[in-house]
Amino acid sequence: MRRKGECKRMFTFLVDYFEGTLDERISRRFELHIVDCEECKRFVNTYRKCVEVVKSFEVDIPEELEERLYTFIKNVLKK
Amino acid sequence: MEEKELVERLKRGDDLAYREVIKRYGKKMFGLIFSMTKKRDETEEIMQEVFLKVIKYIKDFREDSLFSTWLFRITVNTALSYIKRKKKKKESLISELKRDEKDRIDFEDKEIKASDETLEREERRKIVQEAIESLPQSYKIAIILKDIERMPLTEVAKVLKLSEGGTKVRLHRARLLLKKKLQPLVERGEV
Repeated sequence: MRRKGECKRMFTFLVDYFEGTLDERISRRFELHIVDCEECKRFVNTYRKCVEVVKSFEVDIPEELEERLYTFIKNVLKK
Repeated sequence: MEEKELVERLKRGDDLAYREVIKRYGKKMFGLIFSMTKKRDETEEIMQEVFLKVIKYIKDFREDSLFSTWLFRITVNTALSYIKRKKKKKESLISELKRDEKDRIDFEDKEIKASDETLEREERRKIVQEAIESLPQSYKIAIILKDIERMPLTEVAKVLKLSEGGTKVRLHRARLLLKKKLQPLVERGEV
């Protein structure tokens, strides 16, 4: 069974791991840890899924708003 | 158009340069503000306020940061101060708040399309939206800028006026909170 401390240390690398900016050696250690530790694996999987769900969340700007904004700006610049 | 040229043209008051800003950053600005206000009319008002500030202060913009970072910092600050003003006003006008809320619900109802697929997408969107909405404002902004608008971490840090380390901590805490809210749905495969 893994020590709690090791799991805790792994969590500090999560943001960098998902950014792909983690040092290769630590990244490998991270991946080895989550292969072995069921709890962390489950955590990382739901964390990843949640980040993906949020990333798919987009709001579109209505076209007519773009036009109204541009007209507004032109009027302000004319003053 | 390179950013340097864009900024020079903005400084000269070239309206086409402003059109370019709307084209490049309008969607991100709209997404960020709308996630904070949930109202299209307020989002539009805030966007107008942001552009008034850009017109007023662009001459002072020093190119020691990206224009987009500067723009998003103004966007965040303007939205936060608008929401604060609005909150104060609402507290003294409870009946108006109720009417506003009814209008918002009516408006959202009209927005929902009839097909099952759209309804499912709308439902999923609503769940995620509510989860994001329920986050503290500072967490919400970090999530929107980084995960939804895909800004690089270094730029998010500048907009939030935090160190990169501080931004990572904030982002991580925000994601943990969001994970807590979305986890049951993720596990049931509903989002």
